[in-house]
Amino acid sequence: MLVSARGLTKTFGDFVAVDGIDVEVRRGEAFGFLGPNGAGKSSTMRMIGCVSPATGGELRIFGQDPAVDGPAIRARLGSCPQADMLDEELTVQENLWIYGRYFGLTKAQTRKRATELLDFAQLTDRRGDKVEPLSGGMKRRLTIARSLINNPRTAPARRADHRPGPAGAAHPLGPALPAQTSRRDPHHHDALHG
Amino acid sequence: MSSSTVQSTATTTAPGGGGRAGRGGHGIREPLSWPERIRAVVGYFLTVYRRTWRGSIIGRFASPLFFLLAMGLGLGSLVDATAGGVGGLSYLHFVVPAIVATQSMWVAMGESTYQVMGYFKWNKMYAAMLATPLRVADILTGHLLTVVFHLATATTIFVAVAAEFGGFAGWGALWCIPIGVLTGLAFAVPVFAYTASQQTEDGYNILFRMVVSPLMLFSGTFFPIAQLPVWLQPIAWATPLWHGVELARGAATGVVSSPVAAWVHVAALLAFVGIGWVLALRLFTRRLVA
Repeated sequence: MLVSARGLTKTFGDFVAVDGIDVEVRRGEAFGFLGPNGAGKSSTMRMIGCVSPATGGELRIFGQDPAVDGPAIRARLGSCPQADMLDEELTVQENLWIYGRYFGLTKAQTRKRATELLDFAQLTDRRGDKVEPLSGGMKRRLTIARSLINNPRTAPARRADHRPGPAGAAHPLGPALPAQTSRRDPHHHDALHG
Repeated sequence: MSSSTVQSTATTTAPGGGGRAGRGGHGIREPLSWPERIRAVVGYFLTVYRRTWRGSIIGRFASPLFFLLAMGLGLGSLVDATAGGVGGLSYLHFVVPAIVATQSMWVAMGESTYQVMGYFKWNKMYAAMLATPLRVADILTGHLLTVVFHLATATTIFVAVAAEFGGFAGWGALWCIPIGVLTGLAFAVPVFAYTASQQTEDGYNILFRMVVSPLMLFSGTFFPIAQLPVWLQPIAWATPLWHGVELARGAATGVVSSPVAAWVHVAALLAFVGIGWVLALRLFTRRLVA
């Protein structure tokens, strides 16, 4: 069981963002939250990503409690946030290198993994360029690649702009990539979309 | 959100490679030790610095030269000719150690206002770090250590340049470096906390105009605070800059009123750092973990 929630609740003051949801996600599943704006998808994903504490209910990720083991859980997650959160003044590969270090990967591990992910996200030829002038789609691919730097057990992603579909089925990045491409992520992962 | 909006899509991936060891693998990872976490945070800020250091280093060399020119040759010659210096010191030797402390305040303000706001709001690097095993305290510690590095660099350059141009009377000037760093931190840590509490950068106008600039003028940098009206003097005691100025001047000139006073200054600066840390940690947490 990757994610299990029971009566999961999030409130901000009087405002109830997530009102007691039950959810279970098993290993090997690609799971998505769908709902209208303001339904609480992002709040739920932030709780699952262990960056926002639950107000009520029970939440377990890999069987662990985010309130107790947040850093240990995050070490195994590949979180792809709604906003890209890249340092646009740094180069494409620097953004990956820095991120790998946050997970305690060695310099050598980080560089090797970054090289694989740049290839996966088809950004190899832009690796030494600053992020700022990249197109929105390229930045998104870089953010997705970055979320996989630690070879995560589970990859929560907000914004379903790279959902698998007929066109994108050949590549995990799907429509986020230019057409007619087929490269595999060197280390597959479970995907969770919100 | 109701459960009817939840949809599970088909299984597309098989369970991962499993048994690979180390932090790059899929399994449970060995937690990062705190030095590893802080090193990773500092690593980010140094990467940023590698891109920007040329611009900042020119300013670090230029600002002592401007001050020496204005204060030493300009104001200093006037003061020395008409008043015979200040308390037996030439005006240059009176003012330069104090300017080291004042300069530290400015460097600290530069590193803890718009910079910090940017990491909260503009590129959201703090939030990006928190999606990893890092914690708020790691981010705060790592960033503040980077500020210490900037303060140490700036102060060392300032002292070296000023010494080259005769701004100090003796080797006691070297004390100005750690004193400058401590004075800068006494500003940076509380201002980190202030920045965390601000949603926009509008508050900085007031901070610079109503706090930083008056402090530079009324903390004994350019004239002893004994020259101020009596009711204004306690305000100087309550601010970090006066303590830094007094310490730096005492260390550089060897003219110290009493060793007790020096320790009181150190304690006051440490108190600003300590209280600032508690506030900053609380306000960073409130802002980043919602």
